[in-house]
Amino acid sequence: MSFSIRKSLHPGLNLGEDHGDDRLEAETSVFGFWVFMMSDLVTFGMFFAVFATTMPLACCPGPKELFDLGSVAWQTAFLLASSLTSGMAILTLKQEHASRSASTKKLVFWLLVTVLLGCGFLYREISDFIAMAAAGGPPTRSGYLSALWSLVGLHGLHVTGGLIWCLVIVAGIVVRGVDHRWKLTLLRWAVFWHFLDVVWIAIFSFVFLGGLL
Amino acid sequence: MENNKEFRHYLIGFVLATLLTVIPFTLVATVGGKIAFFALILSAILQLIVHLRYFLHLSFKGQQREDLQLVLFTGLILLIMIGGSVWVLGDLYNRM
Amino acid sequence: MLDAIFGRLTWDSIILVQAVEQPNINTFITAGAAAMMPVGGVMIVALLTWMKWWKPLFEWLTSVDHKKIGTMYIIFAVIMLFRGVVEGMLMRANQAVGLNGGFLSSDHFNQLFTTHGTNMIFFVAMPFLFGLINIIVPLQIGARDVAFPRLNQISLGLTAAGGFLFMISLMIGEFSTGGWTGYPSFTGRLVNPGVGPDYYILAIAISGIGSTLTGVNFSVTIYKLRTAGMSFMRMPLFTWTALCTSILLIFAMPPLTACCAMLGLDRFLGFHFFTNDMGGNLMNFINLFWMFGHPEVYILILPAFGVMSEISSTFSGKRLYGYTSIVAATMCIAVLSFTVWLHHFFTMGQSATVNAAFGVATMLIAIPTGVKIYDWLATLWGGRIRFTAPMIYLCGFFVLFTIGGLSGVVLASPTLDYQLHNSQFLVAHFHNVIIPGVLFGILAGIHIWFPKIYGFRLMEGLSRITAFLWAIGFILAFMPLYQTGLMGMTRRTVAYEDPALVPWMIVSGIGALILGCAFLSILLTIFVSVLNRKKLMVPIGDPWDGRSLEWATPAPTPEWNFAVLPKVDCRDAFTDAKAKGTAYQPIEKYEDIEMPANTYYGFIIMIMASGLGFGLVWHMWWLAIASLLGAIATAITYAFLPQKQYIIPAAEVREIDEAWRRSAREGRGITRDDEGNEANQGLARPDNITNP
Repeated sequence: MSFSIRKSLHPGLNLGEDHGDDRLEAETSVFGFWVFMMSDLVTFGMFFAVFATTMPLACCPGPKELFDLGSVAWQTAFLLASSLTSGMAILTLKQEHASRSASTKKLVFWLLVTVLLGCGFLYREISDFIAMAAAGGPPTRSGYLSALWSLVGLHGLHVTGGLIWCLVIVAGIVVRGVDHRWKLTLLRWAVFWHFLDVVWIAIFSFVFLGGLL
Repeated sequence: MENNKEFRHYLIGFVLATLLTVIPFTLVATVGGKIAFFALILSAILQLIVHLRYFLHLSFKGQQREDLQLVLFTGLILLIMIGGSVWVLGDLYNRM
Repeated sequence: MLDAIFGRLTWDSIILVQAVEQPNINTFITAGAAAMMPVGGVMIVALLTWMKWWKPLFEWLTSVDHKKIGTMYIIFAVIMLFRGVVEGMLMRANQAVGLNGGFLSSDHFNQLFTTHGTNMIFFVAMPFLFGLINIIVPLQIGARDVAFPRLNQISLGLTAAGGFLFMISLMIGEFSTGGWTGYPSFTGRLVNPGVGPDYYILAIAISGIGSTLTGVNFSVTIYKLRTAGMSFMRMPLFTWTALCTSILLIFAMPPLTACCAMLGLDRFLGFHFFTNDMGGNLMNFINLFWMFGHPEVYILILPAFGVMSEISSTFSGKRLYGYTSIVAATMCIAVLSFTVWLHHFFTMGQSATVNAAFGVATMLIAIPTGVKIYDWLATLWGGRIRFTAPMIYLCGFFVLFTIGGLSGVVLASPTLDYQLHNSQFLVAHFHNVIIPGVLFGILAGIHIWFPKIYGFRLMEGLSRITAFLWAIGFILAFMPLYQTGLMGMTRRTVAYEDPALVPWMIVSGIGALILGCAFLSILLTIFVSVLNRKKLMVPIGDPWDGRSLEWATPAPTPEWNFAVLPKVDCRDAFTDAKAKGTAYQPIEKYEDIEMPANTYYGFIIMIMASGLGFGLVWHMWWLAIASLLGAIATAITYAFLPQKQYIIPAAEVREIDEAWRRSAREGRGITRDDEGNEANQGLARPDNITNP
């Protein structure tokens, strides 16, 4: 089954024709990763469902006492910017790395900027968690807080994983160059990173902003 | 040029997403109430679409059938699961 | 210091020590069962050493070949089935003498029904089905392997790790007593702080992740690796059901992972997801669990339905009737299965509106299943039917599964369910759909496809006896439970007080004994077939006059499956080729074939996952952390290691393939009359039937 005539082989940004076989092999690899992302979305959905059905208790600190809207705004800004920079990285991959001879400097630059922004996100988020705990809102205090910490924490864990993954990719590119495997890995990583921002939209909207309404 | 077009794609998405973030944040911080609530939901849905379209490059044309099937079906499943859970647990809560 | 190393593990945790310190029938039974593990282990090591099978063993354990991985899944499932059948027999034996108290303690009985359910669903049925799908689907779609062979191996490793945790709980510690459904707050930290529920959570969560990855793998395989010309509507039905099963796996396993994670957070870190106070709500667990649990049962039954489709067409020599309607019905079942989960907890306090909505949805799901049964019956009609073991399973399925389905429709009514929930009626219903449905499908599938993988058939006579034993054993063991349920007997109780129940319990106990014999009959069948394999060989690979592509390969199938990937232009492509005379024609051009090399990845992940689980259960934090870091390090390392392939030279492929094709062209072939005897070399000759 020849798909090379079709424009888009898999969801997400497709490598161009000049990438040859890499483009064709990306079809299965990236599609498969999208499928896995869907299952991950459902996992997040389940944490959302539990969060949505757990009410803050009168006895214990709730959204109004614990949420720092400014900090959440910063986290959103960091993550959104990192989405843009990850997009820049993938564009660089597509436009400049059809051949193995191109310099990896620009690609690594964008990836490291993304990591930096992601670390900014995590730093703010962890600070917020520490502050919440200090204000009497640790996850062991109530069902609502358990749901809150686990939902936001699950996202934070994914971000951490994504950052480690990105650093591994950077190391791989520096050591081995942008070969077939690292190209496909980058495409998958970019999908992952964008989905983290998608989930964050839901989190800042319904957890933080929604909680403060 | 193809390259510029793709770059602009990301930029447009970024600007739209920023807008759709700033609006709900401001409304919740200042006005509050029902207006902010509906703006929040609308902005979230729109920003989701912006992300899917401009960052994840999904569109209705030029896409393989299975790619759309995948995302739409997942959307349906999430609706059933989250919506169903809220309905059931809400019903139980009302009867407590 | 010792606390830091061993966590809460002490000498008393080991059942053999407990049997010495507190000798009673319960500890003796458990110790005896647990002792089989080291004894069995020693015997296996001795056998491997004596037969010099260590190197082949490691070739298997590091293989990424879907046929080997599928076989390992099935071997794993058979071993776990042994434990599951014994657990069932113990419970039935206890109930047979259970008036005012059986011979088991309530704690032991509670662990038994928990392990029996958990085992059968996660470590018997699912691995069996994954094994069959693994082996057959790539062959049916004309592919060389699944989309992600290494991921396949990792999934197997994760399932094995879950199984390891499950089995080690027999020896060290104990298992949960909360049923396979594990509802908090009974399984919460307050009521059950021990290791039981922790074993339960980790065993099913870890194997659950493996199953999710399997779903991803199979669905991408079917979407992307179909051979030229095989559109969706030309796929065999077993592949269709495998596709729908994979979709269910992708979307239904996450709720299980989520609720296990939440229960784990409650137990390990003191969160309040499901506690009775501080804002916890156990209904969230129940809701999430059954959001997994209902699609799960369709994950179990859909592949079995696929096997039934294969049987009804192959063993009547006819095209499947109503292909489009069966495909549509399968897809309907897959989608609808996500809309009915509440019927598992009608009695938990929802309003009538909610209950009614889910009740109606549940009844609707019976319709597509009915469509499929009519289609299979219509397929048989006017066909050249052979009453082989698979056909016995199919006929048993028609009668018995239908009864089970009907009892399901009874339970779908919330009003009736209020009376029947958690009674023996429910136990009868789900065994009634699982045994004649899932198990018959699995056993029939093994019978049909065994020759494809091993090159020789199973002995027909013994296989038929096995089939009858399963059918009769099932009827005697579980049909009485409908009656006892209606008489008010509760499920999951070690004792009962109504003497009128005793005769039914005794009949059920006899049925359980027959089921035990049925299991042994499987082993006997395989054993005797291996002894007689020379007479049963079917090297040309098509012993049943099959219709789909998996029969267009030699038996045993070479590791590359097809020398040249086939092109199809219709359904039942192989039957079409045989009719046109294009099957087995020589191929002009052979090319080198690249196959992925063996790897230790999945094996290492299995060890890490087992260590993680065991460490968490016993609070051996160093072990848990080391295992987790080890798994991550493994993943990173393998990202850097080159992914090796090895090349099979075209000359070698040509030699084997040409020899096979020649033997097929020169062979005489047999009609269906000789299907069961020695003349069957795996080559089919046209039969006299009216409707090909």
